[in-house]
Amino acid sequence: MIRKAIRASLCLAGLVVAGNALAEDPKFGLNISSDIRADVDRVDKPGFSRNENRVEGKVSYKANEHIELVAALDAVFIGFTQDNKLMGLTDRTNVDPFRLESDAAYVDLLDIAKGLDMRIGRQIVQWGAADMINPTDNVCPDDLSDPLKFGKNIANQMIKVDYSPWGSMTFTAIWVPVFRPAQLPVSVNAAMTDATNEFPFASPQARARGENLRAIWLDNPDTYDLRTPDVDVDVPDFSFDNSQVALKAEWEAGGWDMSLSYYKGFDDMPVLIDVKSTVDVMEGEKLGVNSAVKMAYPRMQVLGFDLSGQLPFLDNMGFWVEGAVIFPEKKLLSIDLTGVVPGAEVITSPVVDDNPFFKATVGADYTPISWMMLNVQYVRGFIDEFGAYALGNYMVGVVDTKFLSDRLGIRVAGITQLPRKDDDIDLPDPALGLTRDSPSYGAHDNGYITSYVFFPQVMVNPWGALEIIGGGYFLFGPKESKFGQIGAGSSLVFLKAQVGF
Amino acid sequence: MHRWSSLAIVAGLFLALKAQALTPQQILEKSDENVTKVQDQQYDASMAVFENGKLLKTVTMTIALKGLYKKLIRFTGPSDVKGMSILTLEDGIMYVYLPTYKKIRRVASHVKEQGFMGSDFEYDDMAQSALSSFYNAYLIDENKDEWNLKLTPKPGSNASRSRLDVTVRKEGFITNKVTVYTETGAKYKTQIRSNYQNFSGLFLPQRIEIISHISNHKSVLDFTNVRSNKGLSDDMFTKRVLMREE
Repeated sequence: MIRKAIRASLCLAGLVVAGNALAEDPKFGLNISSDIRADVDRVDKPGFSRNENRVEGKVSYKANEHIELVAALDAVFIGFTQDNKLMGLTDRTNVDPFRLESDAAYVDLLDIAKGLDMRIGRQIVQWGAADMINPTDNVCPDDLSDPLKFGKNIANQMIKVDYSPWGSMTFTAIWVPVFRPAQLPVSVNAAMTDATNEFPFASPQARARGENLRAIWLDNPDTYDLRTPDVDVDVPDFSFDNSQVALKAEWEAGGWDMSLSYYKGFDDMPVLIDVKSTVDVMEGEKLGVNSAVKMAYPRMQVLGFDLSGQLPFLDNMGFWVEGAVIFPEKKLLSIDLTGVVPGAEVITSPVVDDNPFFKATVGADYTPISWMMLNVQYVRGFIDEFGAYALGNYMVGVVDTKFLSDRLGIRVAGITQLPRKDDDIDLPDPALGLTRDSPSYGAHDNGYITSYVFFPQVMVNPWGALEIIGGGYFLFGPKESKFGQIGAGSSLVFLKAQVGF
Repeated sequence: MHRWSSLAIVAGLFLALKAQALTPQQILEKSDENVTKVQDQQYDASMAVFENGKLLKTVTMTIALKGLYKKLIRFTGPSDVKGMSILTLEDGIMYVYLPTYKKIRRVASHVKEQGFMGSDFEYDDMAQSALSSFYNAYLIDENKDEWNLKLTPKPGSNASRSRLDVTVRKEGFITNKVTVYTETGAKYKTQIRSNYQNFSGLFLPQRIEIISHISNHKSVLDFTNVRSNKGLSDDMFTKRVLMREE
């Protein structure tokens, strides 16, 4: 017995030695970046809005031909003191706050069998052939906190299996045990207090009823004081029912890459499901309006496809199509203003109806001359849009130029919301002289509305390891438009520098 | 015995005459054999880019090749490209792995127009290529050590250049120098291959230098840790492997 144990130990030691013989040295990476931004427009008072320093560390270690470990950890120093209480200023975490982020902490099990890999742990999975705006990309939540990232994914814990049985054919299966929501932008708070925001009802009739009620306080700004609402969000609990599953098959045929995908889980953006307003305090001649708001994440199933390749008859221009049919869970929104307007009805109507809807991105890119690349995309349904009634149409364009052996780059990007008919109900306006300054301006039918994003950047890369980027992110459009609404945030200028090895 | 000796001399003379009688196209084909007989290759590479003789930047990478078309480049430095990988397959199909987004993106072949990472290399320069498949060869001149050939595209081929001048060393049929011309017939750039090493009878360069004739640029690619014909699997040249952090 003892001899057997010794023999087994020796065999095990032999395996470890054999494994170590194949091991590679750990690989390390370190990046340091600094990002300073200033809000210059669409804010009460221009000033610095970001003063972030980030230290990114990464290590990967291939223990043997079947096992690799990858870990990444970012320390983010926020740059703004977060306390103005005397005792708070005795605490370094208040004086110099920071947070930790991680894009990766996983184990790769490689070639478990021929063509079979498994990745277990915290990871980012990004699906879709299109650039940045991917309707089939639903496994990981979006980081909407930074408009310059256009919804870059946040990592989540999951198990991913990839199997390539033959040729280019690859099947992927993913299980995400626990749902993680999107990180929302700071401007979402301002949006909550903007009474001119559109009511998100799927039904035009319900929206009209809501607008008529809302007109009562919009048209009486001297009577009502609308306070910041108290918002609760129902994040799905940790039950097995709330696990997410995703499947994908991808292959190449005739020079084209194609995929079909399926996702069952939740949309990562919450929708309003309950608003209850009351008037509880007299403030001089004004009535204080308090609102309790509840939000929730609708379940959804998504059938997606994408296709990418090049068009030989157009000088090998790159071309891609990505689309997804989304089958949403019906969510009802209840608005109870009876506490503000005695006798008013409680309006209950779907905020998301259960009709499937289709989001798509179609794009092309081309290099007309060696130092310039063009990229154009049509988008049906922006990153944050959910529900058949909520989808807009957009054009996204990027002109990317490089000079001086890539040491200087100038990128100009723009997004246009294609004009849409404003279907708001014209509210009674006793002044008969409605202007943009009128409190209720945003709640009126403004005809066809559109909006724009202009995003120029200059990139300087003098010695390879250092990159300096300066630019602006400017929003234009009326209050009810996609990029003109308060929730879209501010126009800003930025300067970033990053260096690493 | 005397008769056999005479036959041997005649046979030797015949073979010598045959070698001398190689057509320019055959010379090019023999030169290509140094490339086409390599089943696979792996090496580390360092690419230095110079302007007016001053070093602008150095890009380091590992490269794996299989056959004439399959190629996997993983960038190891500097930090702005570290972690990025490029996979090239048959028919010009190309993918890039973007580590920032953990995403593989299909890249259309028009991007080859942009040059390779700000250097004088182009994507085609990074691949092995059998020139004789695409070009007809004509003898410009020769000396005791080298042939100088002029290459023009074969009708109907996908040759990317209107003219190449190639210098082939007679010993080992090694291509020493390739000069690329523009559509208008002007010299565009010259590629100099040197530090040849013998890998089981195959001569492969360990340094490729590209001198631009339209700018003051020069790019030098040095290969180290070269391994060839190690039986690399086709699986290595797949999107599944491209996603790995290696």
